[in-house]
Amino acid sequence: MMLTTDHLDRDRDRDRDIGSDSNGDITSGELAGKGTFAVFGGAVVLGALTWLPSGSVNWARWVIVTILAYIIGTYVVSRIVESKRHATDRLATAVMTSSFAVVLLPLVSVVWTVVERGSNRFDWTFYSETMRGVVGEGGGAYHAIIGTLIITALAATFSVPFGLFTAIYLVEYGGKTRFSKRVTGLVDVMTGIPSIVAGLFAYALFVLVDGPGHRSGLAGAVALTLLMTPVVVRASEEMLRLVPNELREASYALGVAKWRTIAKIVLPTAIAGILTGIVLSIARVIGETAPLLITVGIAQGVNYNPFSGRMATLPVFTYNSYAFPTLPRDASLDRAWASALTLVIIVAVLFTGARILSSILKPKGLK
Amino acid sequence: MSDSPQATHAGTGSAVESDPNAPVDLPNRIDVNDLNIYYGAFKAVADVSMTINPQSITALIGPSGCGKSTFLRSLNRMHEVIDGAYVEGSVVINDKNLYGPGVDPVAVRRKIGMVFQRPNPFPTMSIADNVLAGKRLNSKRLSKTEGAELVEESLRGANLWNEVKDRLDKPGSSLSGGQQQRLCIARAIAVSPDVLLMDEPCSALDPISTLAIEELMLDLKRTYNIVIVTHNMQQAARVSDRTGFFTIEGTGKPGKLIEMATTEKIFANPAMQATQDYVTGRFG
Amino acid sequence: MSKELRSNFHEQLTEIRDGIAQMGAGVTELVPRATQILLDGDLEAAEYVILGDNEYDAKAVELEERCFSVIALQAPVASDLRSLVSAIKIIADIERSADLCVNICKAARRIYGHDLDPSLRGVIQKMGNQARVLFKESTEAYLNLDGPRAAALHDMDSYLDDLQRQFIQVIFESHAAGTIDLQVAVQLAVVARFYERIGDHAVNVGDRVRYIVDGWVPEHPYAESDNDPPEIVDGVIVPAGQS
Repeated sequence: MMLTTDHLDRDRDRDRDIGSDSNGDITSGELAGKGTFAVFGGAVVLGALTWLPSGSVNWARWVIVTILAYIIGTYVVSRIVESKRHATDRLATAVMTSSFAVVLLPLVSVVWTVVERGSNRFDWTFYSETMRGVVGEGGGAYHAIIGTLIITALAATFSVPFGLFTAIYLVEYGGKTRFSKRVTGLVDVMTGIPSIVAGLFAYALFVLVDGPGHRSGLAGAVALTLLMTPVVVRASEEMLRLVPNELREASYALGVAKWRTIAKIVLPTAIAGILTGIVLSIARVIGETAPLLITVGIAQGVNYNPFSGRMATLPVFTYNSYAFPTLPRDASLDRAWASALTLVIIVAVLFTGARILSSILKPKGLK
Repeated sequence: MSDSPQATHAGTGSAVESDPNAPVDLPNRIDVNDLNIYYGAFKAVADVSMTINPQSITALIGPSGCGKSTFLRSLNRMHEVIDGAYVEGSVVINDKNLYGPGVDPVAVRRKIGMVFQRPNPFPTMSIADNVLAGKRLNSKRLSKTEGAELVEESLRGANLWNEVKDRLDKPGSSLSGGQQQRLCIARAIAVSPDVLLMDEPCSALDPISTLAIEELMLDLKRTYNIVIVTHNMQQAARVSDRTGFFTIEGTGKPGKLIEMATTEKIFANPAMQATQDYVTGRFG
Repeated sequence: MSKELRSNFHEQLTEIRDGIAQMGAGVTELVPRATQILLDGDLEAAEYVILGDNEYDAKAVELEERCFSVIALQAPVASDLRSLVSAIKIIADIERSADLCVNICKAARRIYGHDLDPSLRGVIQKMGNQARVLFKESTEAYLNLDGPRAAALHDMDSYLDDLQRQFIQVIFESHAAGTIDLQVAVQLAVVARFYERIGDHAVNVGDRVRYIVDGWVPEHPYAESDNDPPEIVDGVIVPAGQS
């Protein structure tokens, strides 16, 4: 046999290396959906093996090992069956999916926990009675719900006009002046104010007027306004900037004054996004406990007057029920969980309402 | 009527021909005298003088960035929405200087309407509301019948009535590009302006919609004084009675009016070499 | 879109077409008039026609300028472009034909006082008729953009060419018989040429019409030349092709 044919055989063998990109082959194998599922299944089993011998479920270990095994497994299997490029692609997808799952898990866990524990007191008594005269079982959070609604509504009435008009100034009138740049900077700073600082500020302000020991819903509303306004400004500013300039020009060209253009053309066009921004800001503050602790305190009964006297609010009620429980302790804890559930429900209702309102008000032509 | 057609600006190298057949006695003639337009310290347009005849279409052509749009916007003081913009010189219509002391720019724009390059109907309003927007936003009360009449009249004037009369309450953005632009034209003429300015009105449209708008312009010129800025030389040739050619010497320099004459002269036998080079496509 | 597009442009094209048709109709009437002037020796009418040529020249210039204007301003393409380019050439053909009629009248002035014998008159009448028919057909073919009608002009022109050859023959005979002198004979020979050229212009118009209709271009234009001079065979002058 000649040496030349030997080296021909070697070349032929080299060509049969499937899955390698180096020979420029444009086809490769395919890892079908079933394949990915199989890898996932294998990862789950592997993860289960970490706690199975001990008999009790260790969720953390299971989840971590499953995720790692899935990521590594996908890459290896894809590398073998498909090509290197496919494998890298799948690796990236796997990492991203896993990250998403990792982020989602706590959220799901929280919601599940709140619903599960809060449903113990999901009854009419809870929503219709206060804590006046209650030392053990029973009682409700009616006063806290009223308090939260009143204070948040007050805060919204202050912050929405302030925030919206600031945003209108920044977008329509301010332009590139140094003043408006400073205002924008200040708003950015305000978004980062710790809530306790806002609460202290409001308390100090009212103490100046009313003397020490002041407690009122109004003070709480002022603290929440400080926290809400920057969010409203930011969101409104973004939405107003999104309104195409050509619409403003079209209005000016018809001989319409600037303020009318803003009121009748720009605002209606941006209203959907602005509403969402307002709802976001409400959602941000509705659960703030620290400022309300200082400014509003807690009460056992209903107080409809925000200008004087303590009021109960849902976040403070939750804290109170946990930190200063009545006997039996479980009754207090149940009330705390139920009040937390109420907060979650209110936020969910707000968001849904905002989306519905958005889609009603949104102009059909805008993308 | 003047007999001498040529009025050359000595030293500036431009030829602005007055039209001996211009209907000078009709209202809404625009006389621009030595107009200089500034954006802050930057001079965008220098020393423009021209006469824009009523009941005709005047086209302004020239390469990109030569100031023709800026000049057009100065005719209804729209350039002032940009901070720091101001002018020297005068724009006189019906014996009133638009830049005279005490003149309200908003009032000017009610008399001199504008249509823009990209059709921009108000997205929150229906077709009928869009047409009436000019009147309503200026807090003019319109009874239902008055409103309906104005809507029909304006949409007919824009050659759009037959296509939309059955869906006047649908949003303005549900129309095609050409129809939207005609809606914007209807909106502009609903406030009964004297002059209609058009800034590249067909640039964003397909060829058939473009021709439909040109056909409309020929109808509209019987009522309005129309000034159009266009990148499309063939459009200027097809549609306008007189044409002005703007150009710019270099980046950072102000735009200037080089030649203004009847459209036929500009495209058959222009007086200035620069004009000839531009229309034949030897530079641009 | 219910409205017609570019109506302004189409109106301008129609105006040009009508202007040309009008000129063509005018020349169609001018041919028999010139023929009659030649046969009757009507000096006054001849003057009238000669002076009236200015009008045709002015009209031709005006129509041509309109064509230039439309080409410059409307950027025509396809059949519109073919029509306009052809229109310019057709205007030239028609204007030249008007000039030829004027030339016939000038010839009439030159032979004034000399009688023409019946055989000469007969052929002149026939040539006049045929030229008139050719021009009428070409004008109508243009107005209606009728390709087949335009194509038929070639054969009609062949007949006119035959008539011209016949006329030359009759001129030789008359001169030999002494009924007309040399000067008149030469003038009449030139007149024959005029009629034949009118026919050729009509054929040109027809060819342009065919170009407008579908872009048809003649492959070998004027390959069969009818313009060969008479030949001398055995001491006798005979028309070309008859040796």
